[in-house]
Amino acid sequence: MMEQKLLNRRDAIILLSLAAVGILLWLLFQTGSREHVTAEITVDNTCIARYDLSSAPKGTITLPQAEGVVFEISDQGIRISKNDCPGRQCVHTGWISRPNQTIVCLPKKLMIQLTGSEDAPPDVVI
Amino acid sequence: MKIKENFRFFLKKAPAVWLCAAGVWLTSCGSQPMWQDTFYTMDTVVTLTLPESDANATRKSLEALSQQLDCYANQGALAALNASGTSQDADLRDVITQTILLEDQFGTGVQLSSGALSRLWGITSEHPQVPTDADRLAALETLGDDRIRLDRSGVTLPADMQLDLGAVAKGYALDQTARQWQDAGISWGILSLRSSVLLYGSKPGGEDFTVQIQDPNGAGILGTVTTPACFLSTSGGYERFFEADGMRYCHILDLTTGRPTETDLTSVTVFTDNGLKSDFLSTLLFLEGSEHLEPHLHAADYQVLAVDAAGKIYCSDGLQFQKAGA
Repeated sequence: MMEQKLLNRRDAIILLSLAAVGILLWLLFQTGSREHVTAEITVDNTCIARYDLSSAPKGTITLPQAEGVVFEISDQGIRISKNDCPGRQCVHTGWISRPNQTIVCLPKKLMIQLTGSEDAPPDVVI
Repeated sequence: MKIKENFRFFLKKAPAVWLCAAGVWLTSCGSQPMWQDTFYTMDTVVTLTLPESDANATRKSLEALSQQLDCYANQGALAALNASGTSQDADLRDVITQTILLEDQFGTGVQLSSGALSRLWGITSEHPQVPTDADRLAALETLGDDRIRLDRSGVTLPADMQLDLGAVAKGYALDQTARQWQDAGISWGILSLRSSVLLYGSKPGGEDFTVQIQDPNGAGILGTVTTPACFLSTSGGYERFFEADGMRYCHILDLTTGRPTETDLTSVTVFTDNGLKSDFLSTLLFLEGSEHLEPHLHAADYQVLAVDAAGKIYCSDGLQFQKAGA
């Protein structure tokens, strides 16, 4: 008799792998939307630029209000890659990527501060 | 038996399908290169966000346009028109034609011929001042966009008239930029001239743009508007003003009195499909005050979000607005 079970071993394996992929996707999605880290660049306590690190441009940035400074954003976070200040303490700080981390350049009164939030920042403020 | 075969075939193939889908999904969420550029032109801080590095072309044309349309610049098409009374500049002719069409539809609360009056108050210049009554009344006499002569070759002004394109220049710049991006095949982008913004194309995930509206009566935010691609402009007295003899003067002039407006609104934002129109309407609605706002809230071709000095919010039917903290 060729009586077949509704679910044989191979079917079970396929179903399990489906479930595994599903869970994996769900986990990825969770981590993807968990937190947005925003980098705020201030000079003399005035904000000159703000970037959402998850969606911001990857690459180098120069800002007219921060002469001589080159910022860089990558998957590792944000850093000051070049600065013509004395000491270059800020450049040596390297990458920062987690909320509440900072990079400071005292000679230029410049600071990068990271903050985290549950919600995505808006595309534009008017 | 047949159905079961099909079911098993589906199960066999399913993981492959799922993995492909996951691959596509992951790439779409991955860090797509995006460029942001901040610079100063059009008399404001400009923030440009683009998926491709085409920021330089946009920046250059904005800077060129800024020079052409600035009424305080010493050179450029508008300065030349104000000095000589005539111009063949295509952009200038285009801005004036479009604005006059809007005046025909919405009234003359906003006029380009307010140059003499703007200059007299100098509110957006470095030396604002309260003019004498005689000077103010004389400047009012020079108003009248219907006296601007437009023909195929260009623009001619009456001898006494000076133009100020401040109410529409930024919006026009957004229109030009949108056209450029379309020609360049750019998929999406954001151009913020602070009080006027272009939201162009559709974002990688396909979701709508989010716009945070500042609270003109305080330091916080009023709320967030979710919108597909559009042009938007805000007019308000809170960012640009000057103080003299204990009085606070708004930078937007009431063309019926020749004085800074005493509107009861503190901010008006207009969302529509054209930059010059959003710029024109936000200024007009701001000047008209809350008492004339009602019909605009039901307009089919634009949406409005306004707030008055008491903090009351006026919102168009079709606008997806979420109040802060709500």
